[in-house]
Amino acid sequence: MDFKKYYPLIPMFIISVILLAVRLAAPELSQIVSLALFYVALGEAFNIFTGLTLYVCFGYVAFVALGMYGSGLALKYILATSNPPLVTTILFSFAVAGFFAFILALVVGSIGLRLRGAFFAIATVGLSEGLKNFIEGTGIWGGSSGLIIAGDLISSYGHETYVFVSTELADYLMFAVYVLSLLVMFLITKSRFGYGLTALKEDEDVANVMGVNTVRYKLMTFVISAALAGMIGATKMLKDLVIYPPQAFAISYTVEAIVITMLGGLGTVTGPVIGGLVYSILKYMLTVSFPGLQLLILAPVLIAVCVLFPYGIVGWVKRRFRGTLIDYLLV
Amino acid sequence: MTEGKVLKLENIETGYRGVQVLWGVNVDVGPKEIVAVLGPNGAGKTTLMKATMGFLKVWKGSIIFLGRDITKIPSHERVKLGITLVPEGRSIFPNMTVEENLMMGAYMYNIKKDHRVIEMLEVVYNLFPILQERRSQKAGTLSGGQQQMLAIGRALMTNPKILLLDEPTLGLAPKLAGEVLNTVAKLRDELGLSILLVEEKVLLATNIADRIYIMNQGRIEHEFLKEDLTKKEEILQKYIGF
Ligand SMILES: Nc1ncnc2c1ncn2[C@@H]1O[C@H](COP(=O)(O)OP(=O)(O)O)[C@@H](O)[C@H]1O
Ligand SMILES: [Mg+2]
Repeated sequence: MDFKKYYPLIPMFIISVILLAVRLAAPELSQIVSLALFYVALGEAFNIFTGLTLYVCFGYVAFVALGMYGSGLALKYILATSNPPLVTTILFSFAVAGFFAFILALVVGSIGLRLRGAFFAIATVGLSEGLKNFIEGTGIWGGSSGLIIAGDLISSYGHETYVFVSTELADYLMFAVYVLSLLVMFLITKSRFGYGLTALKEDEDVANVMGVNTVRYKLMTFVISAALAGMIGATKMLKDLVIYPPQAFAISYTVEAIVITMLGGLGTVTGPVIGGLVYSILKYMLTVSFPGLQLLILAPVLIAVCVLFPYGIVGWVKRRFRGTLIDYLLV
Repeated sequence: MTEGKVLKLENIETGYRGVQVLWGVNVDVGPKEIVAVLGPNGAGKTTLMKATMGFLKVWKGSIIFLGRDITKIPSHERVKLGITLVPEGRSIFPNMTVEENLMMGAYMYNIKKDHRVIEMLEVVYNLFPILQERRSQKAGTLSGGQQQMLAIGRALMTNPKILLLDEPTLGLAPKLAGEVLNTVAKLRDELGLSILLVEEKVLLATNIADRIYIMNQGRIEHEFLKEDLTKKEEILQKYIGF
Protein backbone atom coordinates (compact mmCIF):
# COMPACT_ATOMS: atom_id res chain seq x y z
CA MET A 1 0.00 0.00 0.00
CA ASP A 2 1.02 3.53 -0.72
CA PHE A 3 0.98 5.25 2.66
CA LYS A 4 2.69 8.35 1.32
CA LYS A 5 -0.48 9.66 -0.20
CA TYR A 6 -2.03 9.77 3.26
CA TYR A 7 0.69 12.00 4.75
CA PRO A 8 -1.36 15.17 4.15
CA LEU A 9 -3.72 13.81 6.79
CA ILE A 10 -1.08 14.62 9.43
CA PRO A 11 -1.46 18.43 9.35
CA MET A 12 -5.25 18.03 9.17
CA PHE A 13 -5.10 15.80 12.20
CA ILE A 14 -2.98 18.32 14.11
CA ILE A 15 -5.32 21.24 13.29
CA SER A 16 -8.34 19.17 14.31
CA VAL A 17 -6.80 18.05 17.57
CA ILE A 18 -5.94 21.66 18.45
CA LEU A 19 -9.50 22.71 17.71
CA LEU A 20 -10.87 19.95 19.89
CA ALA A 21 -8.34 20.65 22.64
CA VAL A 22 -9.27 24.33 22.75
CA ARG A 23 -12.92 23.41 23.09
CA LEU A 24 -12.14 20.96 25.92
CA ALA A 25 -9.58 23.01 27.80
CA ALA A 26 -11.04 26.48 27.51
CA PRO A 27 -14.79 26.40 28.08
CA GLU A 28 -14.79 30.21 28.19
CA LEU A 29 -13.96 30.12 24.48
CA SER A 30 -16.73 27.64 23.70
CA GLN A 31 -18.87 30.28 22.01
CA ILE A 32 -16.27 31.15 19.38
CA VAL A 33 -15.16 27.54 19.02
CA SER A 34 -18.66 26.34 18.25
CA LEU A 35 -19.05 29.19 15.77
CA ALA A 36 -15.78 28.14 14.16
CA LEU A 37 -16.80 24.47 14.06
CA PHE A 38 -20.04 25.36 12.33
CA TYR A 39 -18.33 27.42 9.65
CA VAL A 40 -15.51 24.96 9.12
CA ALA A 41 -17.98 22.10 8.67
CA LEU A 42 -20.25 24.17 6.45
CA GLY A 43 -17.33 25.30 4.28
CA GLU A 44 -16.00 21.76 3.91
CA ALA A 45 -19.39 20.27 3.00
CA PHE A 46 -20.00 23.09 0.52
CA ASN A 47 -16.52 22.56 -0.92
CA ILE A 48 -17.25 18.94 -1.78
CA PHE A 49 -19.72 20.08 -4.40
CA THR A 50 -18.58 23.56 -5.41
CA GLY A 51 -14.84 23.06 -4.94
CA LEU A 52 -14.77 19.83 -6.91
CA THR A 53 -17.09 20.80 -9.76
CA LEU A 54 -17.08 24.63 -9.75
CA TYR A 55 -20.87 24.48 -9.79
CA VAL A 56 -22.59 26.75 -7.28
CA CYS A 57 -25.94 26.07 -5.68
CA PHE A 58 -27.32 29.40 -4.49
CA GLY A 59 -29.97 27.63 -2.49
CA TYR A 60 -27.43 25.58 -0.53
CA VAL A 61 -28.81 26.66 2.85
CA ALA A 62 -31.93 24.65 2.01
CA PHE A 63 -29.99 21.46 2.79
CA VAL A 64 -28.94 22.76 6.20
CA ALA A 65 -32.51 23.86 6.89
CA LEU A 66 -33.98 20.58 5.73
CA GLY A 67 -31.48 18.80 7.96
CA MET A 68 -32.71 20.88 10.90
CA TYR A 69 -36.31 20.04 10.13
CA GLY A 70 -35.58 16.40 9.38
CA SER A 71 -33.73 15.86 12.64
CA GLY A 72 -36.20 17.95 14.64
CA LEU A 73 -39.18 16.02 13.32
CA ALA A 74 -37.40 12.70 13.79
CA LEU A 75 -36.56 13.58 17.37
CA LYS A 76 -40.12 14.66 18.12
CA TYR A 77 -41.47 11.51 16.50
CA ILE A 78 -39.21 9.02 18.22
CA LEU A 79 -39.69 10.63 21.65
CA ALA A 80 -43.46 10.71 21.20
CA THR A 81 -43.66 7.02 20.38
CA SER A 82 -41.00 5.47 22.59
CA ASN A 83 -38.31 6.30 25.08
CA PRO A 84 -35.01 5.14 23.59
CA PRO A 85 -31.54 5.93 24.95
CA LEU A 86 -30.16 9.34 23.93
CA VAL A 87 -27.65 7.80 21.52
CA THR A 88 -30.39 6.10 19.52
CA THR A 89 -32.46 9.28 19.39
CA ILE A 90 -29.54 11.28 18.12
CA LEU A 91 -28.36 8.74 15.58
CA PHE A 92 -31.90 8.43 14.25
CA SER A 93 -32.33 12.18 13.90
CA PHE A 94 -28.98 12.50 12.13
CA ALA A 95 -29.89 9.75 9.69
CA VAL A 96 -33.20 11.41 8.90
CA ALA A 97 -31.50 14.80 8.50
CA GLY A 98 -28.98 13.42 6.03
CA PHE A 99 -31.71 11.54 4.21
CA PHE A 100 -33.99 14.58 3.83
CA ALA A 101 -31.15 16.67 2.40
CA PHE A 102 -30.03 13.78 0.20
CA ILE A 103 -33.48 13.37 -1.32
CA LEU A 104 -33.84 17.10 -1.99
CA ALA A 105 -30.41 17.16 -3.66
CA LEU A 106 -31.27 14.10 -5.69
CA VAL A 107 -34.42 15.71 -7.03
CA VAL A 108 -32.89 19.14 -7.64
CA GLY A 109 -29.69 17.66 -9.04
CA SER A 110 -31.29 15.12 -11.37
CA ILE A 111 -33.10 17.92 -13.11
CA GLY A 112 -30.76 20.87 -12.61
CA LEU A 113 -27.35 19.30 -13.15
CA ARG A 114 -28.14 18.65 -16.78
CA LEU A 115 -27.71 22.40 -17.09
CA ARG A 116 -24.26 23.87 -17.40
CA GLY A 117 -22.55 26.04 -14.75
CA ALA A 118 -24.22 29.43 -14.68
CA PHE A 119 -27.61 28.05 -15.70
CA PHE A 120 -27.57 25.64 -12.79
CA ALA A 121 -26.64 28.46 -10.41
CA ILE A 122 -29.53 30.60 -11.65
CA ALA A 123 -31.94 27.67 -11.46
CA THR A 124 -31.10 27.13 -7.78
CA VAL A 125 -31.55 30.75 -6.67
CA GLY A 126 -35.16 30.21 -5.64
CA LEU A 127 -34.64 26.85 -3.96
CA SER A 128 -34.25 27.95 -0.35
CA GLU A 129 -36.70 30.85 -0.48
CA GLY A 130 -39.22 28.67 -2.26
CA LEU A 131 -38.96 25.96 0.34
CA LYS A 132 -39.20 28.48 3.17
CA ASN A 133 -42.30 30.07 1.65
CA PHE A 134 -43.78 26.63 1.19
CA ILE A 135 -43.32 25.76 4.85
CA GLU A 136 -44.64 29.12 6.01
CA GLY A 137 -47.48 29.15 3.52
CA THR A 138 -48.81 25.65 4.05
CA GLY A 139 -48.11 25.68 7.76
CA ILE A 140 -46.51 22.23 7.72
CA TRP A 141 -43.79 21.45 10.25
CA GLY A 142 -44.97 24.23 12.52
CA GLY A 143 -45.21 26.72 9.65
CA SER A 144 -44.10 30.25 10.40
CA SER A 145 -44.37 29.80 14.16
CA GLY A 146 -41.54 27.29 14.00
CA LEU A 147 -40.74 24.01 15.64
CA ILE A 148 -39.70 23.83 19.27
CA ILE A 149 -37.84 20.71 20.28
CA ALA A 150 -36.53 21.69 23.71
CA GLY A 151 -39.67 20.56 25.53
CA ASP A 152 -39.60 17.07 24.04
CA LEU A 153 -36.01 16.62 25.10
CA ILE A 154 -36.63 17.88 28.64
CA SER A 155 -39.69 15.70 29.21
CA SER A 156 -37.90 12.57 27.99
CA TYR A 157 -34.40 13.01 29.39
CA GLY A 158 -34.64 15.71 32.02
CA HIS A 159 -33.24 19.22 32.26
CA GLU A 160 -29.64 18.25 32.83
CA THR A 161 -29.42 16.19 29.66
CA TYR A 162 -31.11 18.97 27.76
CA VAL A 163 -28.43 21.45 28.84
CA PHE A 164 -25.69 18.93 28.10
CA VAL A 165 -27.01 18.27 24.60
CA SER A 166 -27.24 21.89 23.54
CA THR A 167 -24.10 23.24 25.22
CA GLU A 168 -21.71 20.29 25.02
CA LEU A 169 -22.81 17.43 22.81
CA ALA A 170 -23.82 19.65 19.89
CA ASP A 171 -20.27 21.02 19.67
CA TYR A 172 -18.69 17.58 19.63
CA LEU A 173 -21.17 16.36 17.05
CA MET A 174 -20.33 19.38 14.92
CA PHE A 175 -16.69 18.42 15.29
CA ALA A 176 -17.58 14.91 14.15
CA VAL A 177 -19.44 16.19 11.08
CA TYR A 178 -16.49 18.44 10.27
CA VAL A 179 -14.05 15.53 10.51
CA LEU A 180 -16.34 13.38 8.39
CA SER A 181 -16.60 16.07 5.69
CA LEU A 182 -12.86 16.57 5.72
CA LEU A 183 -12.19 12.86 5.32
CA VAL A 184 -14.79 12.46 2.59
CA MET A 185 -13.28 15.37 0.68
CA PHE A 186 -9.78 13.98 1.12
CA LEU A 187 -10.70 10.47 0.02
CA ILE A 188 -12.55 11.79 -3.02
CA THR A 189 -9.54 13.79 -4.18
CA LYS A 190 -7.36 10.67 -3.88
CA SER A 191 -9.75 8.40 -5.77
CA ARG A 192 -10.53 7.62 -9.38
CA PHE A 193 -13.77 9.50 -8.86
CA GLY A 194 -11.75 12.58 -7.89
CA TYR A 195 -9.56 12.06 -10.92
CA GLY A 196 -12.61 12.23 -13.19
CA LEU A 197 -13.81 15.30 -11.31
CA THR A 198 -10.51 17.06 -11.98
CA ALA A 199 -11.16 16.65 -15.68
CA LEU A 200 -14.79 17.67 -15.31
CA LYS A 201 -13.80 20.83 -13.45
CA GLU A 202 -11.36 21.81 -16.19
CA ASP A 203 -13.60 21.06 -19.14
CA GLU A 204 -16.84 19.16 -19.05
CA ASP A 205 -16.87 18.24 -22.73
CA VAL A 206 -13.34 16.90 -22.55
CA ALA A 207 -14.18 14.89 -19.44
CA ASN A 208 -17.11 13.45 -21.37
CA VAL A 209 -15.00 12.38 -24.33
CA MET A 210 -12.66 10.66 -21.89
CA GLY A 211 -15.57 8.52 -20.78
CA VAL A 212 -16.53 10.38 -17.59
CA ASN A 213 -20.25 10.27 -16.88
CA THR A 214 -20.31 13.96 -16.02
CA VAL A 215 -23.96 14.22 -15.05
CA ARG A 216 -23.64 11.34 -12.60
CA TYR A 217 -20.38 12.67 -11.15
CA LYS A 218 -21.87 16.09 -10.53
CA LEU A 219 -24.93 14.49 -8.97
CA MET A 220 -22.79 12.31 -6.70
CA THR A 221 -20.81 15.23 -5.30
CA PHE A 222 -24.04 17.18 -4.94
CA VAL A 223 -25.88 14.55 -2.89
CA ILE A 224 -22.83 13.81 -0.72
CA SER A 225 -22.36 17.51 -0.05
CA ALA A 226 -26.06 17.96 0.68
CA ALA A 227 -26.26 14.98 3.05
CA LEU A 228 -23.35 16.43 5.05
CA ALA A 229 -25.04 19.84 5.07
CA GLY A 230 -28.15 18.08 6.39
CA MET A 231 -26.12 16.67 9.28
CA ILE A 232 -24.74 20.13 9.99
CA GLY A 233 -28.37 21.19 10.19
CA ALA A 234 -29.08 18.33 12.61
CA THR A 235 -26.28 19.53 14.84
CA LYS A 236 -27.51 23.08 14.65
CA MET A 237 -30.96 21.88 15.64
CA LEU A 238 -29.49 20.18 18.72
CA LYS A 239 -27.69 23.38 19.62
CA ASP A 240 -30.70 25.70 19.21
CA LEU A 241 -33.45 23.12 19.94
CA VAL A 242 -35.81 25.41 18.09
CA ILE A 243 -36.32 25.95 14.35
CA TYR A 244 -37.69 29.16 12.83
CA PRO A 245 -37.94 29.29 9.03
CA PRO A 246 -36.24 32.71 8.58
CA GLN A 247 -33.21 31.63 10.64
CA ALA A 248 -33.06 28.11 9.22
CA PHE A 249 -33.22 29.38 5.65
CA ALA A 250 -30.93 32.40 6.18
CA ILE A 251 -29.39 33.18 2.80
CA SER A 252 -26.31 34.45 4.63
CA TYR A 253 -25.22 30.84 5.23
CA THR A 254 -24.94 30.19 1.52
CA VAL A 255 -23.00 33.41 1.04
CA GLU A 256 -20.75 32.63 4.00
CA ALA A 257 -20.05 29.14 2.65
CA ILE A 258 -18.96 30.68 -0.65
CA VAL A 259 -16.78 33.24 1.12
CA ILE A 260 -15.14 30.63 3.38
CA THR A 261 -14.20 28.28 0.56
CA MET A 262 -12.92 31.13 -1.60
CA LEU A 263 -10.98 32.57 1.31
CA GLY A 264 -9.36 29.26 2.18
CA GLY A 265 -8.93 27.88 -1.32
CA LEU A 266 -11.71 26.47 -3.46
CA GLY A 267 -11.30 22.76 -4.15
CA THR A 268 -8.46 22.25 -1.68
CA VAL A 269 -9.11 19.92 1.24
CA THR A 270 -7.74 22.15 4.00
CA GLY A 271 -8.91 25.44 2.47
CA PRO A 272 -12.34 25.54 4.11
CA VAL A 273 -10.78 24.69 7.48
CA ILE A 274 -8.40 27.65 7.28
CA GLY A 275 -11.08 29.82 5.68
CA GLY A 276 -13.67 28.83 8.27
CA LEU A 277 -11.29 29.57 11.16
CA VAL A 278 -10.21 32.94 9.80
CA TYR A 279 -13.76 33.91 8.96
CA SER A 280 -15.30 32.95 12.27
CA ILE A 281 -12.56 34.65 14.30
CA LEU A 282 -12.89 37.82 12.21
CA LYS A 283 -16.65 37.77 12.46
CA TYR A 284 -16.58 37.15 16.21
CA MET A 285 -14.08 39.91 16.91
CA LEU A 286 -15.95 42.39 14.76
CA THR A 287 -19.26 41.49 16.37
CA VAL A 288 -17.76 42.06 19.79
CA SER A 289 -15.97 45.33 18.97
CA PHE A 290 -18.34 46.84 16.41
CA PRO A 291 -21.73 45.30 17.05
CA GLY A 292 -24.10 45.95 14.17
CA LEU A 293 -21.34 47.12 11.86
CA GLN A 294 -19.56 43.77 11.46
CA LEU A 295 -20.85 43.05 7.96
CA LEU A 296 -20.07 46.56 6.77
CA ILE A 297 -16.43 46.06 7.77
CA LEU A 298 -16.20 42.37 6.91
CA ALA A 299 -17.41 42.66 3.34
CA PRO A 300 -14.66 44.95 1.98
CA VAL A 301 -11.99 43.05 3.92
CA LEU A 302 -13.11 39.76 2.38
CA ILE A 303 -13.35 41.21 -1.11
CA ALA A 304 -9.83 42.57 -0.73
CA VAL A 305 -8.53 39.19 0.44
CA CYS A 306 -10.22 37.38 -2.45
CA VAL A 307 -8.73 39.82 -4.95
CA LEU A 308 -5.26 39.62 -3.41
CA PHE A 309 -5.36 35.84 -3.04
CA PRO A 310 -7.42 34.54 -5.96
CA TYR A 311 -6.47 30.95 -5.11
CA GLY A 312 -7.30 31.39 -1.44
CA ILE A 313 -4.95 31.20 1.49
CA VAL A 314 -4.07 27.54 0.96
CA GLY A 315 -3.70 28.06 -2.78
CA TRP A 316 -1.38 30.98 -2.16
CA VAL A 317 0.79 29.07 0.32
CA LYS A 318 1.01 26.10 -2.07
CA ARG A 319 2.14 28.33 -4.90
CA ARG A 320 4.57 30.22 -2.71
CA PHE A 321 6.20 26.98 -1.54
CA ARG A 322 5.79 24.96 -4.71
CA GLY A 323 7.70 21.71 -4.75
CA THR A 324 8.54 21.82 -1.06
CA LEU A 325 7.28 19.68 1.81
CA ILE A 326 4.66 22.32 2.63
CA ASP A 327 3.19 22.07 -0.86
CA TYR A 328 3.10 18.30 -0.50
CA LEU A 329 1.51 18.16 2.94
CA LEU A 330 -1.02 20.91 2.40
CA VAL A 331 -3.69 19.57 0.10
CA MET B 1 -25.26 0.84 -47.53
CA THR B 2 -24.62 0.63 -43.83
CA GLU B 3 -22.40 -2.36 -44.21
CA GLY B 4 -18.69 -1.74 -44.00
CA LYS B 5 -19.18 1.80 -42.70
CA VAL B 6 -17.71 2.72 -39.36
CA LEU B 7 -19.93 5.74 -38.84
CA LYS B 8 -23.08 6.77 -40.61
CA LEU B 9 -24.91 10.01 -39.86
CA GLU B 10 -28.32 9.75 -41.44
CA ASN B 11 -30.54 12.77 -42.03
CA ILE B 12 -29.34 14.56 -38.95
CA GLU B 13 -31.45 17.50 -37.85
CA THR B 14 -30.62 19.41 -34.71
CA GLY B 15 -29.97 22.85 -33.27
CA TYR B 16 -29.95 24.96 -30.13
CA ARG B 17 -33.02 25.72 -28.06
CA GLY B 18 -35.44 25.45 -30.94
CA VAL B 19 -33.23 27.17 -33.49
CA GLN B 20 -32.47 24.60 -36.15
CA VAL B 21 -28.87 24.48 -37.38
CA LEU B 22 -28.52 21.16 -39.22
CA TRP B 23 -31.03 20.27 -41.93
CA GLY B 24 -30.87 16.60 -42.86
CA VAL B 25 -27.15 15.99 -42.91
CA ASN B 26 -25.86 12.70 -44.35
CA VAL B 27 -22.22 11.86 -43.74
CA ASP B 28 -20.47 8.53 -43.51
CA VAL B 29 -16.98 7.31 -42.74
CA GLY B 30 -15.51 3.98 -43.81
CA PRO B 31 -12.73 1.95 -42.22
CA LYS B 32 -9.28 3.56 -42.39
CA GLU B 33 -10.77 6.55 -44.13
CA ILE B 34 -10.24 10.26 -43.54
CA VAL B 35 -13.43 12.10 -44.33
CA ALA B 36 -13.29 15.87 -44.23
CA VAL B 37 -16.27 18.14 -43.76
CA LEU B 38 -15.31 21.54 -45.09
CA GLY B 39 -17.32 24.66 -44.72
CA PRO B 40 -17.15 28.31 -43.76
CA ASN B 41 -17.47 29.61 -40.25
CA GLY B 42 -20.99 29.08 -38.94
CA ALA B 43 -21.80 26.29 -41.40
CA GLY B 44 -22.68 23.91 -38.57
CA LYS B 45 -19.53 21.77 -38.50
CA THR B 46 -19.04 21.95 -34.74
CA THR B 47 -22.73 21.33 -34.25
CA LEU B 48 -22.40 18.16 -36.32
CA MET B 49 -19.50 17.01 -34.15
CA LYS B 50 -21.43 17.73 -30.96
CA ALA B 51 -24.41 15.76 -32.23
CA THR B 52 -22.21 12.84 -33.22
CA MET B 53 -20.59 12.83 -29.80
CA GLY B 54 -23.92 13.14 -28.00
CA PHE B 55 -23.43 16.58 -26.49
CA LEU B 56 -26.43 17.72 -28.44
CA LYS B 57 -29.67 15.81 -28.79
CA VAL B 58 -30.53 14.86 -32.33
CA TRP B 59 -34.04 15.98 -33.26
CA LYS B 60 -34.38 13.76 -36.27
CA GLY B 61 -32.26 11.19 -38.02
CA SER B 62 -29.92 8.59 -36.62
CA ILE B 63 -26.31 7.88 -35.84
CA ILE B 64 -25.08 4.41 -36.71
CA PHE B 65 -21.74 3.23 -35.36
CA LEU B 66 -20.47 -0.13 -36.64
CA GLY B 67 -23.99 -1.12 -37.56
CA ARG B 68 -25.44 -0.18 -34.18
CA ASP B 69 -27.85 2.68 -33.62
CA ILE B 70 -26.26 4.90 -30.99
CA THR B 71 -28.53 7.93 -31.40
CA LYS B 72 -29.85 7.63 -27.85
CA ILE B 73 -26.65 6.54 -26.09
CA PRO B 74 -25.01 9.12 -23.75
CA SER B 75 -21.61 10.52 -24.73
CA HIS B 76 -19.52 8.73 -22.12
CA GLU B 77 -20.94 5.43 -23.35
CA ARG B 78 -20.10 6.33 -26.94
CA VAL B 79 -16.50 6.81 -25.84
CA LYS B 80 -16.48 3.28 -24.46
CA LEU B 81 -17.72 1.99 -27.80
CA GLY B 82 -14.80 3.66 -29.56
CA ILE B 83 -15.78 7.16 -30.64
CA THR B 84 -13.99 10.16 -29.32
CA LEU B 85 -13.64 13.82 -30.13
CA VAL B 86 -10.87 16.36 -30.00
CA PRO B 87 -12.94 19.49 -29.40
CA GLU B 88 -12.39 22.80 -31.14
CA GLY B 89 -9.71 24.98 -29.54
CA ARG B 90 -7.36 22.34 -28.01
CA SER B 91 -8.83 21.97 -24.56
CA ILE B 92 -5.81 20.45 -22.84
CA PHE B 93 -5.32 20.79 -19.09
CA PRO B 94 -2.68 23.53 -18.93
CA ASN B 95 -1.69 23.06 -15.30
CA MET B 96 -1.04 19.35 -15.60
CA THR B 97 2.06 17.84 -17.11
CA VAL B 98 2.03 16.35 -20.59
CA GLU B 99 1.98 12.83 -19.21
CA GLU B 100 -0.74 13.63 -16.68
CA ASN B 101 -2.84 14.93 -19.56
CA LEU B 102 -2.31 11.69 -21.44
CA MET B 103 -3.11 9.57 -18.40
CA MET B 104 -6.33 11.53 -17.97
CA GLY B 105 -7.23 10.27 -21.42
CA ALA B 106 -6.84 6.72 -20.13
CA TYR B 107 -9.43 7.45 -17.47
CA MET B 108 -11.65 4.54 -18.48
CA TYR B 109 -8.95 1.99 -17.81
CA ASN B 110 -7.44 0.83 -14.56
CA ILE B 111 -4.31 2.87 -14.94
CA LYS B 112 -2.11 0.88 -12.60
CA LYS B 113 -3.18 -2.58 -13.68
CA ASP B 114 -4.25 -2.43 -17.31
CA HIS B 115 -1.37 -3.15 -19.66
CA ARG B 116 -3.25 -1.43 -22.48
CA VAL B 117 -2.55 1.93 -20.88
CA ILE B 118 1.22 1.52 -21.19
CA GLU B 119 0.81 0.23 -24.73
CA MET B 120 -1.29 3.20 -25.74
CA LEU B 121 1.13 5.59 -24.09
CA GLU B 122 3.90 4.03 -26.13
CA VAL B 123 1.88 4.40 -29.33
CA VAL B 124 1.28 8.07 -28.57
CA TYR B 125 4.94 8.72 -27.76
CA ASN B 126 6.00 6.98 -30.97
CA LEU B 127 3.66 9.16 -32.96
CA PHE B 128 4.65 12.33 -31.15
CA PRO B 129 8.24 12.01 -29.90
CA ILE B 130 8.12 15.64 -28.80
CA LEU B 131 5.50 14.75 -26.20
CA GLN B 132 7.79 12.12 -24.73
CA GLU B 133 10.60 14.67 -24.60
CA ARG B 134 8.36 17.09 -22.73
CA ARG B 135 6.44 14.53 -20.70
CA SER B 136 7.07 16.20 -17.32
CA GLN B 137 6.55 19.73 -18.58
CA LYS B 138 3.34 21.64 -17.80
CA ALA B 139 1.08 21.33 -20.84
CA GLY B 140 0.38 25.06 -20.82
CA THR B 141 4.01 25.76 -21.71
CA LEU B 142 3.81 23.81 -25.00
CA SER B 143 3.54 25.63 -28.32
CA GLY B 144 0.20 25.74 -30.13
CA GLY B 145 1.08 22.88 -32.46
CA GLN B 146 2.36 20.72 -29.62
CA GLN B 147 -0.78 21.39 -27.60
CA GLN B 148 -2.85 20.16 -30.52
CA MET B 149 -0.70 17.03 -30.71
CA LEU B 150 -1.26 16.53 -26.99
CA ALA B 151 -5.01 16.92 -27.44
CA ILE B 152 -4.94 14.29 -30.17
CA GLY B 153 -2.66 12.08 -28.08
CA ARG B 154 -5.01 12.31 -25.12
CA ALA B 155 -7.93 11.31 -27.34
CA LEU B 156 -5.94 8.32 -28.60
CA MET B 157 -5.54 7.15 -25.00
CA THR B 158 -9.24 6.23 -25.01
CA ASN B 159 -8.33 3.63 -27.64
CA PRO B 160 -10.85 4.83 -30.25
CA LYS B 161 -11.94 3.24 -33.50
CA ILE B 162 -12.95 6.57 -34.94
CA LEU B 163 -11.59 9.98 -34.05
CA LEU B 164 -13.56 13.17 -34.56
CA LEU B 165 -11.34 16.20 -35.06
CA ASP B 166 -12.88 19.64 -34.86
CA GLU B 167 -10.59 22.12 -36.62
CA PRO B 168 -7.29 20.81 -35.32
CA THR B 169 -5.42 23.54 -37.21
CA LEU B 170 -7.36 26.43 -35.74
CA GLY B 171 -5.01 29.32 -34.99
CA LEU B 172 -1.91 27.54 -36.28
CA ALA B 173 0.51 28.97 -38.85
CA PRO B 174 0.22 27.19 -42.26
CA LYS B 175 3.44 25.22 -41.79
CA LEU B 176 2.39 23.93 -38.36
CA ALA B 177 -1.12 23.28 -39.61
CA GLY B 178 0.37 21.09 -42.34
CA GLU B 179 2.41 19.20 -39.77
CA VAL B 180 -0.61 18.53 -37.59
CA LEU B 181 -2.60 17.24 -40.56
CA ASN B 182 0.30 15.01 -41.58
CA THR B 183 0.15 13.35 -38.19
CA VAL B 184 -3.59 12.94 -38.70
CA ALA B 185 -2.76 11.03 -41.89
CA LYS B 186 -0.39 8.89 -39.83
CA LEU B 187 -3.24 7.94 -37.51
CA ARG B 188 -4.97 6.42 -40.50
CA ASP B 189 -1.91 4.89 -42.13
CA GLU B 190 -0.14 3.55 -39.05
CA LEU B 191 -2.95 2.92 -36.58
CA GLY B 192 -5.69 2.16 -39.07
CA LEU B 193 -8.07 4.68 -37.52
CA SER B 194 -11.11 6.17 -39.20
CA ILE B 195 -11.23 9.93 -38.97
CA LEU B 196 -13.95 12.50 -39.35
CA LEU B 197 -12.21 15.82 -39.79
CA VAL B 198 -13.80 19.24 -39.77
CA GLU B 199 -11.78 22.02 -41.35
CA GLU B 200 -11.85 25.49 -42.78
CA LYS B 201 -8.39 25.16 -44.34
CA VAL B 202 -9.61 23.58 -47.58
CA LEU B 203 -6.40 22.93 -49.47
CA LEU B 204 -4.54 21.45 -46.53
CA ALA B 205 -7.45 19.16 -45.80
CA THR B 206 -7.69 17.91 -49.39
CA ASN B 207 -4.05 16.82 -49.12
CA ILE B 208 -4.88 14.12 -46.60
CA ALA B 209 -8.61 13.42 -47.04
CA ASP B 210 -10.00 10.37 -48.83
CA ARG B 211 -13.35 12.00 -49.31
CA ILE B 212 -14.75 15.48 -48.81
CA TYR B 213 -18.12 16.95 -48.00
CA ILE B 214 -18.79 20.63 -48.46
CA MET B 215 -21.15 21.98 -45.87
CA ASN B 216 -22.95 25.27 -45.87
CA GLN B 217 -25.75 26.66 -43.75
CA GLY B 218 -26.38 23.36 -42.09
CA ARG B 219 -26.59 21.31 -45.28
CA ILE B 220 -24.20 19.09 -47.18
CA GLU B 221 -24.01 20.70 -50.60
CA HIS B 222 -21.39 18.56 -52.34
CA GLU B 223 -19.50 15.37 -51.98
CA PHE B 224 -16.14 14.80 -53.63
CA LEU B 225 -15.03 11.22 -53.97
CA LYS B 226 -11.42 10.10 -53.85
CA GLU B 227 -10.98 10.34 -57.61
CA ASP B 228 -12.28 13.92 -57.64
CA LEU B 229 -9.90 15.21 -55.03
CA THR B 230 -7.34 16.26 -57.63
CA LYS B 231 -9.77 18.86 -58.93
CA LYS B 232 -8.72 21.28 -56.25
CA GLU B 233 -9.91 24.32 -58.10
CA GLU B 234 -13.40 22.96 -58.39
CA ILE B 235 -13.46 22.12 -54.70
CA LEU B 236 -12.27 25.58 -53.86
CA GLN B 237 -14.89 27.06 -56.15
CA LYS B 238 -17.67 25.10 -54.52
CA TYR B 239 -16.34 26.12 -51.15
CA ILE B 240 -16.13 29.83 -51.90
CA GLY B 241 -18.98 29.82 -54.36
CA PHE B 242 -21.69 30.40 -51.80
N1 LIG C 1 -24.31 27.08 -28.17
C1 LIG C 1 -25.00 27.64 -29.20
N2 LIG C 1 -26.20 28.20 -28.97
C2 LIG C 1 -26.92 28.73 -29.99
N3 LIG C 1 -26.50 28.78 -31.27
C3 LIG C 1 -25.30 28.23 -31.55
C4 LIG C 1 -24.49 27.64 -30.54
N4 LIG C 1 -23.35 27.18 -31.12
C5 LIG C 1 -23.45 27.47 -32.44
N5 LIG C 1 -24.62 28.10 -32.71
C6 LIG C 1 -25.07 28.53 -34.04
O1 LIG C 1 -25.12 27.42 -34.89
C7 LIG C 1 -24.60 27.73 -36.16
C8 LIG C 1 -23.49 26.77 -36.52
O2 LIG C 1 -22.41 26.93 -35.61
P1 LIG C 1 -21.18 25.95 -35.59
O3 LIG C 1 -21.67 24.56 -35.61
O4 LIG C 1 -20.32 26.34 -34.44
O5 LIG C 1 -20.44 26.28 -36.95
P2 LIG C 1 -18.96 25.97 -37.43
O6 LIG C 1 -18.34 25.03 -36.49
O7 LIG C 1 -19.15 25.40 -38.79
O8 LIG C 1 -18.25 27.27 -37.48
C9 LIG C 1 -24.16 29.18 -36.10
O9 LIG C 1 -25.17 29.97 -36.70
C10 LIG C 1 -24.06 29.49 -34.65
O10 LIG C 1 -24.40 30.81 -34.39
MG1 LIG D 1 -16.61 25.20 -35.40
